[in-house]
Amino acid sequence: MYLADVGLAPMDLMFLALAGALVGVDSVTWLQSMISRPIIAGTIGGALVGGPAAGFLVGAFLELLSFRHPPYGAARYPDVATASLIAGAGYAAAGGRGLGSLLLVLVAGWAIGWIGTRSVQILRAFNTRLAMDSVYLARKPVRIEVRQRLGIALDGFRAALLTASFTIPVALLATYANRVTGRWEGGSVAAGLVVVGLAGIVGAGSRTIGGAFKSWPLLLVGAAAALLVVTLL
Amino acid sequence: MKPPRSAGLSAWLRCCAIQGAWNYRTLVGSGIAYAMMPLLSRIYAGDPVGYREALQRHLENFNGHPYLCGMAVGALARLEYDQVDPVRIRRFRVALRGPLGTIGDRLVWAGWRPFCVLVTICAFGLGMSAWRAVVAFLLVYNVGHLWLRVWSFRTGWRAGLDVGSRLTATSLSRWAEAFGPVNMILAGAAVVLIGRQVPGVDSFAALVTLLAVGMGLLAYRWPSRFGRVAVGVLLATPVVWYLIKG
Repeated sequence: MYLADVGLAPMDLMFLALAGALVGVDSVTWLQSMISRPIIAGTIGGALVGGPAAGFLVGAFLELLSFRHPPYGAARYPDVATASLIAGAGYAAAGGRGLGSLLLVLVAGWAIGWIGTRSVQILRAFNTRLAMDSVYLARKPVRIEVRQRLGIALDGFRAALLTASFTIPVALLATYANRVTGRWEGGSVAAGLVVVGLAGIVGAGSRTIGGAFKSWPLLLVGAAAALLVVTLL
Repeated sequence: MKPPRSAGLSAWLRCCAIQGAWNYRTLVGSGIAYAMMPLLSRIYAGDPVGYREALQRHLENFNGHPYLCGMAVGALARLEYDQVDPVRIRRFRVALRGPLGTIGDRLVWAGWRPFCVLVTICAFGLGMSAWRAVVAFLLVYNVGHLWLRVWSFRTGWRAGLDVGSRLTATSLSRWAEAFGPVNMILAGAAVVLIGRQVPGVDSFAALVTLLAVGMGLLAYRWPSRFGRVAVGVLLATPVVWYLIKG
């Protein structure tokens, strides 16, 4: 398995790292315009490798998985922004098809999300050391500005580093997974299991998106309506 | 002296970077001080000691939803402008933290954002191109996002100490509640529409549909237990697939 097999040029990697920095910063430290949402970051990652739709699909999965971990208060949640960019790029680089590579990039994306969370914690601990006593900072107000901008720059660097480190391994593994599972039968059973797992994860996560305890029939209404629409279309 | 509009604009722009130096000691405290600097420097023009003391007050621990922190910045700057007693400003600052966090989390993180995301996923599942779906999401979401940032900053500056009553008088909480049922319907639809895109799923076989519905409802009823089971199903899929590969 060679790098050329996944069609990732050094320039692609550079643009991905830059995009990683942007979505990473957007996630918490600056603006939060939601280019950091998995559906957007995944699409950007996929598009930079030539497969925006593949990136969107991966992003949509990671988006639905992340409902279980809302960013309320001091809750810990996976850093799905850069993870989706990497997973979207990896899936697109592997051809943007195949259940094997989809499963692999989802697992890898989720794991990278938690690694990203750890890197955010390290950065925040560093910020805590910089947030010295208020008297010291207020004495020279420019110190406050420098610390604020440094925090954003370091967050961008963190996200870029994460993207540059994991994109190639994920793309290589996704391509490999496609090659191996491409020869296997029973793909429809596996695909069915993925749908069942996804439904469970969304069911568990739907409480966090405003679902009251007794509103479960609404989940069924939505699913039934969608089934009806796709049957009619 | 009253800060000019340019100082207000500068403070508002800085509110977009309020979490830039988020840390475990003061949370967004330094971000609040950073955003208030353009306003405080005008309010305390010619009074460097007063400026430093005000900055020191606002560097203290603070937390809130990032989109609504502008309200705190505006209101606190207004109190400084009105020369309210520093002890009262500190108390007010502490009192603001809870509501700004709770309302923002419920309205944006649990309501508006999942709504926009789920509509986008459904649109993609129904055949919209990835790029169109993404651009539509960013446009629609950010209309709400930027409106909320502008509204909260303006309300904070205009209301000052009355910001709490203004916050309760708005319909933000009602909106947050209204998103709940809609998001539930959209979540159900999103599973079907994205599930159809899984490679290898030709159509929704009756058994898969039944199992998916069952799993979804069980996980909804017992999120911790069956949420883990659902993750287990996903992780076990390659193993099952390997065993039946034929």
